[in-house]
Amino acid sequence: MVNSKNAFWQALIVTIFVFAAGLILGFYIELSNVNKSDFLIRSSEVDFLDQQIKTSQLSGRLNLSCESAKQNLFDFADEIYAEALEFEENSAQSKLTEEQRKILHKRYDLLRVNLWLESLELRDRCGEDFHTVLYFFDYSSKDVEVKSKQTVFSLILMDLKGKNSEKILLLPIAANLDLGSVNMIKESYNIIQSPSLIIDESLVLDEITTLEDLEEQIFNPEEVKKIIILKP
Amino acid sequence: MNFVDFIFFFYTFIGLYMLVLMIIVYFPHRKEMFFYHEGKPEPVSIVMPCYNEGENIGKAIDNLLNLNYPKDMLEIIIVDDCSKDNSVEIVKTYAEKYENVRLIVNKKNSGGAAEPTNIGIKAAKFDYIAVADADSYPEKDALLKMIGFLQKDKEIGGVTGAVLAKEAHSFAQKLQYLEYVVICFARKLLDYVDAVYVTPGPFALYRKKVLLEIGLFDKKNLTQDIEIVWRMMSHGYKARMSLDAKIYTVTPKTFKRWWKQRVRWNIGGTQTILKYKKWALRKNMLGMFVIPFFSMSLFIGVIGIILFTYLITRSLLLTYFSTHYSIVANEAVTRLISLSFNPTILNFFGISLFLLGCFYTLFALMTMKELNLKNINLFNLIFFLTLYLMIYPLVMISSLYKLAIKKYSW
Repeated sequence: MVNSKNAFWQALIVTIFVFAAGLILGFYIELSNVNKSDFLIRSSEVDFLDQQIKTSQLSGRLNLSCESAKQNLFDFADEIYAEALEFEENSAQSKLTEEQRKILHKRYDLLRVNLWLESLELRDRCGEDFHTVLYFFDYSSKDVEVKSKQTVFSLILMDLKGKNSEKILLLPIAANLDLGSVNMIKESYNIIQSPSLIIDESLVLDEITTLEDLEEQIFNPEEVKKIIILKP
Repeated sequence: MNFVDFIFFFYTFIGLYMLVLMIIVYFPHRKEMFFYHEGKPEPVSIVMPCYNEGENIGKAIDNLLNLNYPKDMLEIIIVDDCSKDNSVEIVKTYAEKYENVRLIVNKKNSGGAAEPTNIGIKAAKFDYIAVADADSYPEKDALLKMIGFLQKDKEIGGVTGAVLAKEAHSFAQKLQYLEYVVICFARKLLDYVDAVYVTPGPFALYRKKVLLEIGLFDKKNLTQDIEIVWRMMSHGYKARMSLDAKIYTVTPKTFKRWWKQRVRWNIGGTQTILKYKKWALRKNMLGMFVIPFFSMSLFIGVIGIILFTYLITRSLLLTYFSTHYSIVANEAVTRLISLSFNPTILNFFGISLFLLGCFYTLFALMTMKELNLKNINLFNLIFFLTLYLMIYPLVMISSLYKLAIKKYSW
């Protein structure tokens, strides 16, 4: 007979070893995602500074045409959207980079807030050539109903942007990451639940609506006497 | 890492540990798995409890009479537990024809196998007692391949053989066929670390002296074949397994009957854990391995089903709400672009363990030389490895509930 005690201890040691090897392998796989996210964090810092400079210095002093300024705004919004999407896809299931994801998300949210402020300045300078849609959502929500509502909202907004890419500046911002600037906007517009939309700084929507109705709200607000809300 | 992830890692660790233990035990003994001590025939009393076994009892007695064993060293005692069918009449014909076949009729139905077995043991003439089920068919040389273990070592109180499924006609029986083979393989490996925790009812051999010393079978326990071994272990005795001694038993044909049997097994197992809980962590195999192993299985099963229920409920709610809102918004929720798979460390662990489990099962089937292709096809194997084993936590919940409300019977 095999010595019983030895077999059990041997099995425990081997299991710990194999388990640890698996964890280390997993760690190295995750490390590649961590390196990517590190790069994105640094890249977003550069973008943030760049945006700050543009907002505060360049738009006034340099004689940029409204069209160029608007294009610059939209391109930058698309760029950070693509970056954020890439990061989400790479680290969606990662268990080791949750804190980094949050930090990077906050950075992107701040970039979008800054973009929104720039859009306000641009519209003041150049007139209302485009529409802004601020989309407030809960980051990593555990609430099943909120999560499903956000899923549908996201799809509607994705279609909206797809159909009207040159006319709509879509800025998704996480509402629950405790950013001071975001909280100020929420307070100002009395945003109390997620998901919510602020359309052209004047209209707040927090109920699910069809894409067509949303387009009506955005492009023909005067013709719509009341908000058409299809309550679930 | 959240709580669910932690539970997942814990499960993976336990599963991996059991697999590694089996491998460590297997390798030094791989050439002697079917070894048995050559014993010399000594007188054996075979006790068979019987309740409404009119369909099987005749064939069972014929099988025992045809055992490759000296007829003058064999007595067969059928203890009828007040059958309502023609079991008694059938046995009487054998008793009249064969000197070594005896019938004892219990005065009152006991509701289980333990009491009639005990009656038979007390009436037995010989020092070795074999206990057999009326729907089990040991191979001709099974007894010869088992007795040597008792003769070789006085510390051995009982010996079991390889209990295999007799027929595999229905789908449920084919799954049980696979299951029994894998169980036999695992039990033999546990034999090498003195951790055989059951001498299954279909056919087992004991020392009469030990049975009398420890107090015979527990009438209140629904799995008296498990309880007797734990009692033996608590008295310092061991059980052994003779893998080459094959015993074929009839398995439930339908899932309904299968469910009833497994709930009974789980109730009996839980009764046994509760009875011997004070022995947990004592310095013997019962305390250090058998009880923790059983208790862990119970715990893991129950926690697993609770977790699974929580996750599936959450997923269903999410699907419900998403569908609801998508209908309102006239937006398709499922799109190809959103279907992506980013494997994580958890996926890696889970898939690895599943593949190792599959490999273990196939290896057991190959080692046992039970690759009967009528019973094993890819569909049966995949079903066994996935859905069949996943039903067990539900059986556990049902048995715990019945035990709690004290609504159970044989």
